[in-house]
Amino acid sequence: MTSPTIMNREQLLELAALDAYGLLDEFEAELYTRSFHHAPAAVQDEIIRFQSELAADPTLLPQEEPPAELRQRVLQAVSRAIERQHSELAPLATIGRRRETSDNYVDSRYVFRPAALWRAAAFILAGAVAVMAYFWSQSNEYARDLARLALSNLTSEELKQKLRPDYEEFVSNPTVVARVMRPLVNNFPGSATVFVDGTTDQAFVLIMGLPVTAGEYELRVTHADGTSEMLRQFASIGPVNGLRFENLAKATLAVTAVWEVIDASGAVVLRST
Amino acid sequence: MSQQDWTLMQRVAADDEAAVEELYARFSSLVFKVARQLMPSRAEAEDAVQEVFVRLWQTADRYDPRRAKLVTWVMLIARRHLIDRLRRQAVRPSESSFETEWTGPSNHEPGPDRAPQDAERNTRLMQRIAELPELQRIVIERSYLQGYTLREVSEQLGAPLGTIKSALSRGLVRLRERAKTDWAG
Repeated sequence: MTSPTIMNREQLLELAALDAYGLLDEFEAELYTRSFHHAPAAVQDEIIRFQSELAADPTLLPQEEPPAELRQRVLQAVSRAIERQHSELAPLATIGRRRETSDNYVDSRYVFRPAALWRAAAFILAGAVAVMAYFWSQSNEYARDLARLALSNLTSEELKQKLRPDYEEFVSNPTVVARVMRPLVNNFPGSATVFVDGTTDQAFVLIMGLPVTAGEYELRVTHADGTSEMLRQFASIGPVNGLRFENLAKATLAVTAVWEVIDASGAVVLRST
Repeated sequence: MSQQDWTLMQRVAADDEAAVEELYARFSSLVFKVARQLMPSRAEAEDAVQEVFVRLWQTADRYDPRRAKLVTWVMLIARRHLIDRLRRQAVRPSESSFETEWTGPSNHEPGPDRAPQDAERNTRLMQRIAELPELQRIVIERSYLQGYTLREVSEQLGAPLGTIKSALSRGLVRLRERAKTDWAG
């Protein structure tokens, strides 16, 4: 039985301009893409051709050309971004010595064993049938990508490459506290876990199933005193995203801090419990 | 499917800076034009272009040539980023009345940093927009030029979402037809 939400050729063509200009909202854009993939090849070719003509058409645009010096600025900006990403993915020099944990970082309401989490995650990832049953129940193509990863023999290595080489070591450290971030809206496909090491002032945020959009997300922390701090703006790069932080303030590392992921429209999509 | 375009984006995703240069050479003109259209000043448009190409690098591995040609992808990323930037800066006028006239952002006004022929072209474009049927005009101004989503425009105007989508589609088609006649003449 065909899903009633799949668009036909006429509907696809009617909305092709809006899709090309990025004027469909997130859910409409996902429906449009899903419908596109269901369409016959000839219809897909027609849409691709039409949208490329629209995109390349300067008719509705100003005629100004960019200044010559902008080229170097752009290339430098990209080069800096590349360098920044490489430095963030560099392995830690040290996990840090074990110290007595203070009440700021340990609270029986929030603590669970990260090592157990990863053993459970490994079991889930290794359980092909269980993973497929869970992810295929979600109508989210990125969750399906994760299912694909889970089914491959390279799961662990791919995850390490997507996140950081020493993520297992970091999150398995007994001094690390894990905080779960849950969706605020039903059927939102993403979730996240914040791993905080108060002894080294470092944190690692593992985000799964966050929709990939052209807009950027924000990771924000609200401290116990009500002040907020935007830690990072980032783009979802796929079913698994990892963010690493160093030299965080104690107020940010405290269990009383509230972590949130905010989407490009300003809506809070994930929040720590 | 363009193998060359896919290969180019794979190289960009692999941090190949020569590939980024190639991407810039091909698309900087179009990206700058759309930035100039949406940003309130030339300086902001230039800053936005830098951000767009960083964004293109960040998202390079997501380009799927089976879904769209590279120009479509580049312009979609550019427009989405520019709209996000507009929203963060909250530079859009807070129009809520159907009857309220929007005079356009400052870059549609003739200015000292605009070539005379460009200012004339922009003025004619705004005149063409003003000649559209009322609903099409307002929807194009608010969504295409100001970055409101279609749902937001639907709520602002109290009109069904399907009506807004049709108005935008028809308005853009009519605008392109008239603009092409103008520039060909």
